[in-house]
Amino acid sequence: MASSHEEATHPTPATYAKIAVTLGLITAFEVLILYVDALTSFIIPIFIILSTVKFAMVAMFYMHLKFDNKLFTLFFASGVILATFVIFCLMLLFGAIGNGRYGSPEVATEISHTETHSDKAHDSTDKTVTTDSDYDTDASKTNDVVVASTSIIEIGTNGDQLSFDQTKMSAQAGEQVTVSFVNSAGAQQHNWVLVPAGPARLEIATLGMTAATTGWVPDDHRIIAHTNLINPGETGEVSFQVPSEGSYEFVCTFPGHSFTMFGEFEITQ
Amino acid sequence: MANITEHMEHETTTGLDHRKLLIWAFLGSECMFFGSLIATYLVYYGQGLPGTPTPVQVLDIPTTSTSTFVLLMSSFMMVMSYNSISKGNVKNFRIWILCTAILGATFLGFQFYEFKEFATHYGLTPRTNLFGTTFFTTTGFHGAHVTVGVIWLMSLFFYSFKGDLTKDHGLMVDIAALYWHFVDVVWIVIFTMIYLIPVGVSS
Amino acid sequence: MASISNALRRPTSTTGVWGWITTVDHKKIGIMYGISAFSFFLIGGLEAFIIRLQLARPEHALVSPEIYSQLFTMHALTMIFLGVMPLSAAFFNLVIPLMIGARDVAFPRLNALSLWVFILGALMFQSGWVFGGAPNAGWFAYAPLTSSTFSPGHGMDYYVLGLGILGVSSVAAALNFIVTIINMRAPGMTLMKMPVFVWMTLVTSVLLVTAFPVITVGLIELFLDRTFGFHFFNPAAGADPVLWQHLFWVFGHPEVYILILPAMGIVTEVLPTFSKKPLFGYPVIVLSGISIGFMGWAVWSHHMFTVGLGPIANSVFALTTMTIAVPTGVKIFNWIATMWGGNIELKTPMLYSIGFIFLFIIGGLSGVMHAIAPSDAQQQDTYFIVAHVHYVLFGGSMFAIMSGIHYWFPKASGRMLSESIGKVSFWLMFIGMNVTFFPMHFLGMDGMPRRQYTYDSSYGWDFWNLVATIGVFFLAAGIIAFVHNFFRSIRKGEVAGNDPWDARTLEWSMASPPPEYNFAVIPTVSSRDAFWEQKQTGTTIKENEGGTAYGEEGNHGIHMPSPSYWPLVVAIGLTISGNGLMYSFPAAGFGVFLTMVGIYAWSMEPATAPDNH
Repeated sequence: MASSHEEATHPTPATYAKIAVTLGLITAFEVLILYVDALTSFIIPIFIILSTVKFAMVAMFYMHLKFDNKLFTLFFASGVILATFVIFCLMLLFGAIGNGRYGSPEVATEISHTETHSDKAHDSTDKTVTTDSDYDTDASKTNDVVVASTSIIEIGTNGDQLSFDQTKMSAQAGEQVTVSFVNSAGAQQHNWVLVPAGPARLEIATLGMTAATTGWVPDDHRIIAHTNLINPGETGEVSFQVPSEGSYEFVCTFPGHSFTMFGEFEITQ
Repeated sequence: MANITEHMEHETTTGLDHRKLLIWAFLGSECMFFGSLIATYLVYYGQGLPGTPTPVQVLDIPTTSTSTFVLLMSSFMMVMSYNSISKGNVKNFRIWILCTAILGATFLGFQFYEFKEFATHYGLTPRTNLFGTTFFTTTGFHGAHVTVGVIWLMSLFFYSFKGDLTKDHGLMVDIAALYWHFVDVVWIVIFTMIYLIPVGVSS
Repeated sequence: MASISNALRRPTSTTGVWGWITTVDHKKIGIMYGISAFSFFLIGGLEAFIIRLQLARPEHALVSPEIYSQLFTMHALTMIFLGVMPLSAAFFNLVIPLMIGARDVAFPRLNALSLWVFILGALMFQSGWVFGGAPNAGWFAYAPLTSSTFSPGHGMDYYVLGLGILGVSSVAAALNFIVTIINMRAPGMTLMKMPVFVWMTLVTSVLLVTAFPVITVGLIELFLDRTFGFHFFNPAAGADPVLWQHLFWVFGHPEVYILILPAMGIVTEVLPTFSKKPLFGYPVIVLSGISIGFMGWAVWSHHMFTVGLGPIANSVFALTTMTIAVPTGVKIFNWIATMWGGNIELKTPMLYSIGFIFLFIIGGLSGVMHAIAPSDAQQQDTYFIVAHVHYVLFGGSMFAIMSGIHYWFPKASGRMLSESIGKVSFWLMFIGMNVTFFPMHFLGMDGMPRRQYTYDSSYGWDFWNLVATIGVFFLAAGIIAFVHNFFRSIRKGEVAGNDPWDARTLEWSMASPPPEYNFAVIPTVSSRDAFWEQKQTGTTIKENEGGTAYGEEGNHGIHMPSPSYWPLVVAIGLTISGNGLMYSFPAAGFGVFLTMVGIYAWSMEPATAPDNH
């Protein structure tokens, strides 16, 4: 029986070198196009295509799949395809594609090495929320809702996921606003509760678990404003005056939802 | 893995060596391993608590693209070392494989630097937030695989002084090379998904 | 480095305790898998027995709730990972090389590694009972119950590390069998001429190497959370504990096919032999097995219908789950058609295989009921699920394994098991199965949750719980009868000869037990059921002139791979690392060092010692 290396078209060192150069050039190109603003909306397909090309070149030439028995390609391709399938399904199931999740612009702006924000790195499972919101140097670059002159802020859910469709809301200090919450879930009830940032969020949510008769909103003086419990497919509103300063978060206190259904409420001056 | 058996010329149903089939099946399995780690990262992307370091803030594309380039070049060195040994040229093999291992170690050096920067400059550790947890675990396990690879390559380097690596067209080196290229290919995926795309859409 | 193996001389003996410990012979390895797995099966049975005694009466307190949690967790883990899976591995080892005309597996020392990692990993798993608590959070160990906050102590660490180590054993074995089946078949044995058991082993092995890495990642993430305070499943950091469920069940569903496909393969060998008819629809059965392997990747969230994935996800998974019932059903029809019109011999292996079909149909039907998501909302986490699980795993996998044990015991040992005791044990187990598990359908419909420590009489569950417990006594009697049969027959069973069942496949063409080298001359095959073909037409299987599947023939006889103790050293190193990660990082470091020493020494030593034979 034939042994493994019978190919007449075995690559030469020169071929290997050419591939190495190509790989290097593609990588350089990938880095350069990060700086081309015009391409930002196409950047995901561009990167995926380029990295697939690099992957294929290494696999076909360096790993020799192009020239070897197709059984090897079957083994490897099966693994790659299955892994891609699992990744894709999980992302779909978690609603992790776009929409403030993977593939969406991040709230923070350019990498700024001079920020010494953090040496508040906490370890352990305690919450690590720092209350400064000056990470964000330019609020208008976010995909969040910015207060318009009509003072109505809309917020919704990510379909049936236990999360709001925005992770950050903003309002002017002292202003009278109306928060309009659209519950677009198919079967879940939700509410919207404005609380101080930090441990208060989960504390209030825990207290809310016994507040079945008041739409899961406990009687707690820390709560700034809240909607009623909103049925699936319906909208609820609450009007209130935005505090003049401080750090706040919004959360849904339906039992169990507060772990993933919350966001930052920023007060702009 | 410099196992030299005396029965390498036995017939097999496909004509392929058992050990090559084994390494390819193993690499198929490893795809699922890294796939699950990457899936965890992607599912948790952007889900961390506000107010803690985020990817766009800490990722350093210039440095990491350099280390990516280093790893890609190490694959070139690796294929050249296999090329040498398959033609019986042990001296050149040793040079190329030493270079491969050195570049691999350099990549690891870059990774240590990056991890240290994250921890000391930004206060980002695996315990800081979800990004820390998923980032360090995914890239850490990749780095562990590179480390195993470097040890493997150096073992082959030293073995070449006492044993015969040219048997079967350098099969033992071929198998190590496949592992090494795989680790490189996983990095291509990680670099794209974890570094390039998040920075790219946010810039 | 070569001096390590010079200093410690390579073992050469193939007899005695040391011979068994250092063996790389697939037949011995298969026997060791079988004996240890069956022992763990008995431990798992004891755990079940105590569970049923606890549930026999309302408001009972035979054991504490804490122990009860450990019992139901360990019962499932033991039965699945230390019982059914290694019993399947026992059959793979004993039978596959013989069925394909090979002299051993592709990597004999890797095979030994799988065995020793299994045994040591299994002992590590069970040692939680002794060292402060066995795992107690259910066999699928949902987060965040398994976090260090809610599961302090080392119980769940035994789960994480034990299962991780067992995974190494399974993946190594699966890789070995993939290469063996693809690359070591006798000349003329194309894929579509292989026995179905070989096909099912191949599909199972592919599932193992692709599914285990997923749970390995889940286990690593859980371990990092528990030991180092990472946040993979910590809701307070924004993580989602449901991710654990997904990672677990992406593995877990292929895992149940890993549990049932070898069993189906066994039944597919037994039925034609005792019907004196060829298998009906060989290509269709093979294709069904392959499609079950593929489709098994698309159904996992049917274990999560009540988690709140939403109506779209639930509908998709309900549809895929209902679809996967189709190839399974096709197999059942093929088996029935195989028996139809055949000259049926109701020997013990056949009884167990027919029992498998009957019981697996019931388990499959309740499975299809679960597939309907709204129905499942009522059935989930009740005894209805417990009933389903036991009908498919006990009535399914275990009955098929019992069939395989009775079928291949003569080949492995050279003696026959007693037919009369065999029939008694079958009927006791069959009756016991149904008396124990059928009432659980009623209990589930009546709302009895699973993992329930005790219950109040006002629920009306007393009667069926008592009936189920009574059934366990029949099961126990049947198993004891079998164990008695086993020990009695090893010493006093009737001599079997090569082919006591007048069977169809290659393993019956040689002496029982086979010589160390299996085949004196590797046969050349030209049809399915090659051995049957030979018997019926009086032709001899063409001897493979001059060529062999493995090894050399000639003046020195057949060279077989030599024994080695490095696989055991690596296994010990891995186990020390695992325990070290729980108790002492320096010890873990030593374990890693020992593992590396073992790997280096292994790679320095040739597969066959030059001066052997």
